[in-house]
Amino acid sequence: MSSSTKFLTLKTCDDKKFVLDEAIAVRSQTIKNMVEDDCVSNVIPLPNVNSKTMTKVIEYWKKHSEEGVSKDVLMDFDKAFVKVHHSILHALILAANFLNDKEILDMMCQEVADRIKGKTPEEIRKEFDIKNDFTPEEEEEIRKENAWAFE
Amino acid sequence: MDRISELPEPILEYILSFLVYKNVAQLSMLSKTWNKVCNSISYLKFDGDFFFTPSKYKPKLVDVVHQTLENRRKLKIAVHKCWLPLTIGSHEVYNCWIDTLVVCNIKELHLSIKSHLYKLPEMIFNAKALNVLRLIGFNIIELPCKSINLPSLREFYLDSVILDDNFLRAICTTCSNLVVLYLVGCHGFNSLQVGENLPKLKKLKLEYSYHQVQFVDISSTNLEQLTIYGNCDYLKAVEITASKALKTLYLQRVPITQKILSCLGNLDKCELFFCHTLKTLKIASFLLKQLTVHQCPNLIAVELDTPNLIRFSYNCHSLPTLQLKASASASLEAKICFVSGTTDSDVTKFLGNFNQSMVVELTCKSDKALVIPKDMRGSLLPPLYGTNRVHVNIRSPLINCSIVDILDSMLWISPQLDTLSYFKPDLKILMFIYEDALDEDEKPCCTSQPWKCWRHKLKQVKIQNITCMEQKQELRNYLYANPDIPEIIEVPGPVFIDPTVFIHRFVIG
Repeated sequence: MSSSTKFLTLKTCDDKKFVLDEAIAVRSQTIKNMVEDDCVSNVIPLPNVNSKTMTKVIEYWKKHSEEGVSKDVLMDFDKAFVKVHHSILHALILAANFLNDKEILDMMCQEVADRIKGKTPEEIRKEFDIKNDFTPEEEEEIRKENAWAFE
Repeated sequence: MDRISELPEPILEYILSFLVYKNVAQLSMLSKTWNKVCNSISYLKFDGDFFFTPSKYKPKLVDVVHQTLENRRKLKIAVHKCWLPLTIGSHEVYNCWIDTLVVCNIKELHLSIKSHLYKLPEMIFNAKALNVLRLIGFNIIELPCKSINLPSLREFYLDSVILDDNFLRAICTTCSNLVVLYLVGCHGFNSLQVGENLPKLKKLKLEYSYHQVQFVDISSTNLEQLTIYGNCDYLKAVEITASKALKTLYLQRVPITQKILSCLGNLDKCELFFCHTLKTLKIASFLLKQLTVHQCPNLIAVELDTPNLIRFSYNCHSLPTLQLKASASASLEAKICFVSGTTDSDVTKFLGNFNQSMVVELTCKSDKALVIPKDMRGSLLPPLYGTNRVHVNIRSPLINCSIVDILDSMLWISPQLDTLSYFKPDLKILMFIYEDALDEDEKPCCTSQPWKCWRHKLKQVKIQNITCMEQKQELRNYLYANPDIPEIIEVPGPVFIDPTVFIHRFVIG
């Protein structure tokens, strides 16, 4: 290990600490800004991210920072990475948004979009547990308005 | 639990930005939250499929686009991105849509049309907030140039657009924030001049502008990537000056000369195709990593002082004189494809440059070019004796020489030849396995040269797809004449499928 390697300690909302190479942690634009502005003390608090989610994020960061990994390997990794339950997807989107990591955010949002594509509204509601809060009249009106979209 | 709907609205909107507008409209009936987001979304992807519906819905779709855009205007929603193919509706309607988008401070606009009759309204070239503009298929000739004012434009993509010199000049002098400029399949203009008025320009592409383009003059100082696919018949002059930051250069059918290349010292990747005017190529650069030279028929001399070159791909009819400085990287992978050398010593000299390279893949389109006469071999060093991996493909039917002639010559050229493939009439492959380097010293060798003669190293030969008994016997006779008889194993094929092999096979018939 070179002497120039700097480590940062990240603390998640459930008080778990993660020690991480700074070069990897700055994949997060939020952390990068903090480092650049020199406002990093010993521990960086991440009040919006829990340890379970952070573990996933770090797993992604580490894989994508490894040297000599082929594109195919990364693609397979990404494919497996997004195959998670909605609750984790949701947490990862929020975490990526907070950490300002566009790569993870885009990948996760694309995944949600992919899960929506080609499904009827009923199927989507079921898949994501979305409650239909329209009155039957309201629903009918919206359906009429958007009839073209169901052709 | 419905977690997705709990996401902050901007994130929900961002998720919807990955969907086409038709999907978005469907989602508006999920729930009140989704309805709200769908009705105010600032990403409008009216993709090609959008208008591709049964004709009875087409008038409705014009309405949908109209209403969607009108709502944004009324609610003062800034439109972030919009993809809009102008395929149905009248020219007045199109004008109105574009007008609305400009009023809504459109940031990224992708417009396409199939008819050259429609004239884009001038106001689109006055969109102050526009960052990215992609125009496909328009005719923007005779546009008054003073009407161009795009102060925020960073990326401008023109595809199959008819435009004139005035327009191009106006863009290249007024859009001072331009970072990317692509002209693909555009015509109507004679020259392209990109200079100091575009100080931020990093990527420039001029492709398939077959007619009329005669002069290209590039002197943008911060340009990093330049692509020109030209046509030698029309293109009279190309100047690339002052672009010291240029890292990637792709030129095809461009009348380029050594003079231009010699002042590009920061190139990382350089690809030259069909450059008929190129006679000599001299590059001295610490940064160059990849060099491709294909179909440059008049190239006679190449001189490379590029210690970090890791990929060299050469594919021309004949071999030029090549001088690769001894400091060439040991991790160089060279792919060389040629039909014939002028003389046999040309071939050995050319190949000798790659003696310290990691991999050499040699493709020869004649059967005899790699057969170096025996009387010459004695006085020369085997050109590839130090190369780690050598693969040879003969892409020609064996007419002038037998496979044993080729093999004998190849094993002299490279005493550690890895594979040899050839056609007769389909692909045959020979793979060579040698003894480990460890016990190398134990056996006496017939030469006192710095390399080990293959005759004492070759352990095994795998042959694939060789069905002709006569040929097999020839090979066996040749290999068994060795003091250490190698094992010959037939392996079932095909082990790998190289698409180029099959294309070629087809050509040969």
